[in-house]
Amino acid sequence: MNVDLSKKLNELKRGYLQKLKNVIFEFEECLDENKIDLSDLYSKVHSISGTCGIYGLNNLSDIATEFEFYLKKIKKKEVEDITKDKMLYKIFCKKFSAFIKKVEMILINNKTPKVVLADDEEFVRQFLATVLNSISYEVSAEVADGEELQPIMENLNPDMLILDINMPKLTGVEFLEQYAHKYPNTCIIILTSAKAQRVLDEIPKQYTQYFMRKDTPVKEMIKLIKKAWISFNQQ
Amino acid sequence: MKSIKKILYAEDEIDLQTIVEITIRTTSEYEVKICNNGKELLNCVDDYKPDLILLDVMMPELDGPSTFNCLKENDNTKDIPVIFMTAKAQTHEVANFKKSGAMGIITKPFDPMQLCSEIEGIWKENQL
Repeated sequence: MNVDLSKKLNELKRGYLQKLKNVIFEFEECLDENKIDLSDLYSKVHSISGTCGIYGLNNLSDIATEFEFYLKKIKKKEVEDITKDKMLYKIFCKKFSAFIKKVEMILINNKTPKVVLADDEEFVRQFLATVLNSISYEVSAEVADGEELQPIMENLNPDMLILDINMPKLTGVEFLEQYAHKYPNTCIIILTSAKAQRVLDEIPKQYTQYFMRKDTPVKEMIKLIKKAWISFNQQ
Repeated sequence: MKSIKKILYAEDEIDLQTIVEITIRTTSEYEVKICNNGKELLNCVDDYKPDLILLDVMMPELDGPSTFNCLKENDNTKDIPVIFMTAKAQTHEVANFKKSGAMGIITKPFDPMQLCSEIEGIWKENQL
């Protein structure tokens, strides 16, 4: 075993996983917006299959190889614009979406997060709970103020906390300053209203780099939450 | 017996370029030069004068098999040994090129730890 090479390859692997995460987000966007370039997709999936195999990421490589074989088959049919063949496109979307989900699950170590929601407005909490449920994230608890939050965090030690900035009794910023250091394994996403943008400067950035405005469209919100979770798991 | 000093490698994927370059530099004494596709390789093969060429199969501009054919048609390059690096899915297609004179095939995904021994193995086998 060449230790020097092994170290260098591990560094490269870490960088590659970050890159792969972005490729998967691009795939999701293509699928959402029906912008599919079959040749480009094929060469990217081919690359994932090969590169993951070399890094010893065999489960990712196998998933990519399986999807690559499917893409090769439909490429042979010489479908220039896959969106025009409704039946084929429907099957394609199903397979593409399954491929994306499988890769995402591996990137987050097969773990869907348990989430605590902290916001003083009930309808915001309800809305967020619906969004999170739609992507199978489990909402473990909801709280309406910062004071209520601390014991809940202590008891549940959740994987994710979606934290409003403006809350009574103890604000989001105060919570971060006083307690966030106790929860290094919690991915914290800061929730702000459009008006509260200037407050962002006050947030201690060592505890989180993830921010979400309440008026973000649902699709964007889902992407943002997923990105934060995947990225947090790779740190 | 002739030994390998310089390798010319054509591969379009940057991740693989980096892995192979680092692997060769770390585990062998070979000098290596990377090209992004077959066209680039044909442009620099005369100046670089490699002892061995590593050729990916699927590449833009000019793919591996077409590059191989061009090398074989040129008197200056026809005798340079070529090893194809190919995904499992394409092994069958490239097997024909072994018949046409390619020195060997390395199947991707390869183990970086074993890459140089694999190259040496193919090289020695063909020197006998």
